[in-house]
Amino acid sequence: MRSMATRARNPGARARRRAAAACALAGALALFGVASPTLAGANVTGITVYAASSLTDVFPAIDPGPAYSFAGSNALAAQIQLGAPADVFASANTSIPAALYAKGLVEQPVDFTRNTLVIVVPKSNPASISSIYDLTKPGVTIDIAGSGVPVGSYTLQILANMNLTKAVLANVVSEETDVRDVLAKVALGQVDAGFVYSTDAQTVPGQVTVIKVPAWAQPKVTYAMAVVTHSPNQAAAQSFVNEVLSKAGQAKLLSYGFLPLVKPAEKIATRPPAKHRPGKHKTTDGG
Amino acid sequence: MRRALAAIAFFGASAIALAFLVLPLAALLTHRSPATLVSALSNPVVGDALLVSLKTSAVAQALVLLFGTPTAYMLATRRFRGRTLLLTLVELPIVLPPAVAGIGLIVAFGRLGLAGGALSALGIDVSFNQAAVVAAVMFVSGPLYVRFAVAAFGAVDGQLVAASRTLGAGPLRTFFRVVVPLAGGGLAAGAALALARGLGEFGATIMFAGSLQGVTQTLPLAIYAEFDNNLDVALSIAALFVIITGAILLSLKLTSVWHSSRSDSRYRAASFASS
Amino acid sequence: MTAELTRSQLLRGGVRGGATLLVAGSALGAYAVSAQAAPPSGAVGPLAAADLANTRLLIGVELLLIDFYTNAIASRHLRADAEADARLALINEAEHYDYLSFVLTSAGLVALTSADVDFTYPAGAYYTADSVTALAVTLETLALGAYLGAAGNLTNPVLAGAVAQIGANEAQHVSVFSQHAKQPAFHDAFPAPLTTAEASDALDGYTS
Repeated sequence: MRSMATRARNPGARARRRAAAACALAGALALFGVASPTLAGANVTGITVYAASSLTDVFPAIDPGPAYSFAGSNALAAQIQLGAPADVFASANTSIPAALYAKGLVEQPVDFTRNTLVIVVPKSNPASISSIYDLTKPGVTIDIAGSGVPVGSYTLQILANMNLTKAVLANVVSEETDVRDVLAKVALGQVDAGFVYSTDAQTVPGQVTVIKVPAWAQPKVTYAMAVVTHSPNQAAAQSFVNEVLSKAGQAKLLSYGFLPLVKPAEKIATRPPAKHRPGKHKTTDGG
Repeated sequence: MRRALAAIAFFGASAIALAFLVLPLAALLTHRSPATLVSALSNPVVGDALLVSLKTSAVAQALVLLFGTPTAYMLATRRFRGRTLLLTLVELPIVLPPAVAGIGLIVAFGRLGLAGGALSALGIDVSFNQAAVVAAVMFVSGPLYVRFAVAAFGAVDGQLVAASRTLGAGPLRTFFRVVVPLAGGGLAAGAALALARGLGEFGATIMFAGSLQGVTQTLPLAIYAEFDNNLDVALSIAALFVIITGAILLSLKLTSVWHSSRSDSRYRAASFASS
Repeated sequence: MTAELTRSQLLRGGVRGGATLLVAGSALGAYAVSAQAAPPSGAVGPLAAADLANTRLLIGVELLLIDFYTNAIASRHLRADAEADARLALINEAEHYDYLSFVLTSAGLVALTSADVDFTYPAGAYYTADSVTALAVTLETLALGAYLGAAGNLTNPVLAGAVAQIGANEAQHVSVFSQHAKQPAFHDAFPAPLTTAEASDALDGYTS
């Protein structure tokens, strides 16, 4: 009796309570969403990211929100030194951001991915290149990036490690300012071979063939990024950096062929996979 | 009052325009001290680029004059079907973006290009060497010269040519002794502009000939490469450029003035005006 | 110290058993000497660029062998005698690596470590005891060829001598695992050396 009377006296109370609870829930969700912009699918807008050319495809895939400017890392660093309006700087090596940090132009850089170099040859392979040692043959034309560009400096390190510097540089016909220019010239068949990142070679699958650079001669290729000191959007810039470092961002980088910052423990298959049973599609790996 | 306002507006606009054009040139020469600029010039990059630029521009200019002059004369004096179309085609590279010119040269004369196979069969190598630079420079500067030469030849009075012929001079003698001196001002203007344009060519060169110090890296390519590495060197090359091209244009203007002061041939004045 | 670091890497890599005790007691700051034999003592001296390149290649070969033996032991497929030999071979390879790495670091350079290289093996390489021993013979033959070729190319006599010693040890490994694989213990009177290019290309087959 009493409850019925209570209900009669406060017809909308229950509805109001439900509405309040719904509002609180929505508010909490919204707050949660705002507080962690690194949730998958979140876009950071209103910032400009200066990034190395090899990141042209993967960065917009991680976050299409920012405005991007892709070029050789040294070209971007030169622009930042002249006051270009960048909020984040991502370089294909650690030394360029470190130099900018020493000048107080960026905050502390952080490593975010690794890569390897490969040799690419045109699909028709006019000079019949099958290994890096074939690049020393007379008459072969090679394209590399300039020594100020990270990939160019890595190329020179590889050649020094293998003691092929003189022989290969004798066949170099052009030095580009951008790794994608090297890739384009090889893809067009203008040169017999070029040195690019393995991730770049994956962007033009049918047009080039990849020749391995020996693992024992590979330099340590680590990419680093930093928030630009004079950026007016420090928080948004930092959240972009966090996005790249997040699990989703790192997974995206791996899917584009970049290497994880720490090599995962090796898994060796010590048993053949279990045989299929008719009707079942699951396979189990031995390792 | 209105006349004063008009005068102020007139001069104000001119001042702004002149300042806009002159400021970058002045800044190039004054951003760093002359001592810094001169010492940066001692960088081997600069010497190599200067040598490559002078060599390739000289060869390109010679070829442009050699092939461009008869072409321009033919286009100026003969009337034939498709003349307008041909004139447009010849002038097209002037307005084409240099990058388009670069791609065009690659797919025409590059190793796997339209004429690439034929060229390599003939033993001609136009790939990442100075011949490629010359080709790129000719492609962008040649049409400029031809355009001016066509205008210059067109301004020559046909009656004088006819008179020369009736007086017994052969076609070649007429050409060299009558036509060329009459068109001289316009030809010289076209040649000077073509030379300056060729010296400054960047897009077609870097795409078709590549950039290698001492081989194909011309002055503009050196500026581009050094901008990322050593700003002082880039500035000094740029300042050098301003001086060189300024000298070319200035000498052209001064010789034209000298020519027209020597005789008041209205044909010379007309050909100068058409430049 | 580099010598210590590589040992801890081995330990993390899963080398089991008391074999590690043998190598644990190493001298600090200098190249460690095992109970058996020692490489030529004394400084190697200045090294030509070609010698440095060869050393880097051989370091790559050693990392491959270390990785292989670690996996072979971890696969638990090897018979007891073969596994014992694999453990001894692993100790040998670790000492080879330590010496070559020491040569590079003495020259002021950084040596490759197992964290820097990812090795891949043909499918089914570790499925049975036979496949593992067959792979052991293949890899040891590769190593032997690389060391023979290097011994012929190196200009520094101290380094060339050490490389020859290592090659002799690798030949012992070839012989032992050939017997485990039911192959003749030895046959070639002049085992074939590999040129730098051949050794590098062969090594490429085991990297991703």
